[in-house]
Amino acid sequence: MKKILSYILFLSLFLPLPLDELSRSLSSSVHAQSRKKNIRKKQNKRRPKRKSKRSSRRRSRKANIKRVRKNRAEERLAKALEMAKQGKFEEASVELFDMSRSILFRNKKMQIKYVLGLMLYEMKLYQTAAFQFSEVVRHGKNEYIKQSLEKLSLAADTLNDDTMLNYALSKVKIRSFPRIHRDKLRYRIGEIQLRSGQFKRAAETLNRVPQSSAWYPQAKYLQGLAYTEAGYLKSATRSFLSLVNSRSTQPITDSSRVAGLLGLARVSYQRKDWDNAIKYYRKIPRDTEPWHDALFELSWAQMRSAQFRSVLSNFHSLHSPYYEEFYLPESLLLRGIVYLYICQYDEMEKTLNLFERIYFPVKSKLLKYLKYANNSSSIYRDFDKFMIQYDSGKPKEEIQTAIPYIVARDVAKEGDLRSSRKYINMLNIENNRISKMSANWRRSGIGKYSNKLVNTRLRNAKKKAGKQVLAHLRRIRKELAELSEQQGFAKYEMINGKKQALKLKIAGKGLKSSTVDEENDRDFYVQNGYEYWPFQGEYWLDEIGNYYYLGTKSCK
Amino acid sequence: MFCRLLLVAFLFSSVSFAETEKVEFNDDELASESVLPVFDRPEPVKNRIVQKTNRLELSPNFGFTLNDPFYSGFNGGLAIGYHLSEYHAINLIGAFFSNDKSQYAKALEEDEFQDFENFPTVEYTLLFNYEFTPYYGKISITKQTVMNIDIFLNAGVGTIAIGGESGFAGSLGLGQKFYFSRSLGLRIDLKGLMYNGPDYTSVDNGGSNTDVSDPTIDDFDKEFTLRLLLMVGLEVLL
Repeated sequence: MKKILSYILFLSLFLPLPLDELSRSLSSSVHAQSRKKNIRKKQNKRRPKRKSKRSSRRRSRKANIKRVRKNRAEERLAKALEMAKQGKFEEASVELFDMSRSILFRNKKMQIKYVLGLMLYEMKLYQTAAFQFSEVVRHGKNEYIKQSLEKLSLAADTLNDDTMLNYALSKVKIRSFPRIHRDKLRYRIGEIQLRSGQFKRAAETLNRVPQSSAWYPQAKYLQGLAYTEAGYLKSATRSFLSLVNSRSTQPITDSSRVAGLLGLARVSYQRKDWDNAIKYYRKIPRDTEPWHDALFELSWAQMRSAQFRSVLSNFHSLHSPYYEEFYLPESLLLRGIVYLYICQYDEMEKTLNLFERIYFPVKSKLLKYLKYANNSSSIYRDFDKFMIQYDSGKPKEEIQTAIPYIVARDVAKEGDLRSSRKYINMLNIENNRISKMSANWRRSGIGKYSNKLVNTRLRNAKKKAGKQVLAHLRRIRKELAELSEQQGFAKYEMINGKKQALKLKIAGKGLKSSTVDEENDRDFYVQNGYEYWPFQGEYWLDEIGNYYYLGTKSCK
Repeated sequence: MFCRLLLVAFLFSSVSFAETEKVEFNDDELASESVLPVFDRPEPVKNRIVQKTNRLELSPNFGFTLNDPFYSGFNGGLAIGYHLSEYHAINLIGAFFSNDKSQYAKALEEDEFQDFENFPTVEYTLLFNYEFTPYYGKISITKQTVMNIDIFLNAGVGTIAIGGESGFAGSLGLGQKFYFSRSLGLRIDLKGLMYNGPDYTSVDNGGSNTDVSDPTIDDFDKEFTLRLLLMVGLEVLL
């Protein structure tokens, strides 16, 4: 006992955080054991002495054997902890894993599991560690739940393992969580509430993340989303504004600031406040990823406020070869509709034909793919094959993919799939780590267990991701079917318009012959310090987003 | 999907709407940023007007020497090239040189310092070049028209004939092309031609004290010569 107590003292003085926790856990268990012994002694005193000498000898022999076993077990545990103290996590984990399965240590199973989890966490085997912590939590009625929950949520967060994280968060009490991680926890809880459709509760939880926290921008953004989903558009605007204002000292391309602006623009659009929507969309810097989406959404806002020339200016960028890999079927239809408004039927026909040329083959390829693809694992394999080629920088023409290229590229940007891929990636990293461990470790119980566990998780994660891909592909299939139908309507309107124009022409009141605004003075741009380049078919990267449509309305 | 349902609604109200709405362009939409949009695989230009990959190039050219004190060095020739890509090309350039004396040489002759009449001069050169075009751009001179340009660097090796004898020559050059259309352009080329040439001051051929009356190339000392050529030519892409 003295040995253990001195060891604990030593540990608490010299060990880093996980082992401090470890010593605390050990000391508390020692106190618990001494209390139990005292009680047992008292009980024994009260019992009458009825047994014979022979049986008492047998009893004392058994007790001796028990004591020896116990001492050996304690020595083994102390040895394992000593290895942990020396940073020999591999050896310690092998020992602790064996101990966790031994009947000799059944009283200390949860303690051992927790310490084993800490060892694995130190070895960056987060998935395997998370399972140890989750077992401690699931077992309940032990003194390691609180610490295990904390570690479990951290490991799950690192892994991006939503299932594990949800489980941990469903058990955790914020007040019992270390102060340093509380904001992160609130953010994560809010995120999960939002995902499960509890919008008001999510907004309330996220509201508790203080402005001083590093999680404040993310929390405010999600809060804005939660309010939007719940239909509280004014509150959503306030949340997004708070986010944008809190990032006023950051560079204008700050991703949180940009997300806030995009949120403001979208909420304004939803409120049918076109002017403000246009204002916020325009504030999104061109050298940021969301700018592309913003440009398209801006076109809708401009369309709703009848700024047709501006819409067509945007589409000149959006339908340039720079966007030939983007999935933008709706924008082509919208462009066609604008041409219909301004009676530019020839341009409308070109646009609708472009839609046919690009999206009809995509639609039929997708239909064909979905007809035979039912297995989520194989769907994920196809998608992953695409992603590997795409990430390696292969040009579009050389990428071999069963899923249509622009569809796969679009699906890859979906949040749920990105999250799943991040988790799969983390599992792959963990798998690599396991394969790089010493042969002894890999052959040991914990080695085999980790390998099996990670591979099973990987298989399941891929299945889940495959299902997500499938859901997105089905959504796109439905979307393309609807848009194709609308393209048909638009074509009908176009033919009708052409017919009307012909009738007017026969009656001597045809369309205007000039389709370009000749009165638009090009000097205007130059005088205002801009360069003016007439468009001659070439698209330059620095011109994207700066095209101005000079066509006119042909209707009389 | 962003306001998809609106499409149909718009469609059925389109004709009357078109009659009433005015096409407007807001001046406040002028560019306020000079940064580039973010793409996974950014390329500076798409749909190039002048596309050179796998095209042959013919270039008749004319030029003169910038740094020869004794001869004008007017030259004319032809280059035939092949573009391996938009950036890389190879070409073969041949040029003949005139032996017209410069004003300075004439002045020396008048003062009987030197007689350049029978001195060996550069006759022709034939060079095999590699050409690298790192820059493709455009300029607008009249605001209404745009001209594509590119800037190239080249390096070559070949032969040079001086006074009936051939020797090794190397060249380094820098130039610019101005394209009037997809296939026709103007080429301006500044080239440094390097070779082992005669030192015209190593033979005294002026007045009565002449070293040799009719000097050949062997009578001269040889020295490293850097001849700067400015060449202008038409470029035809086939």
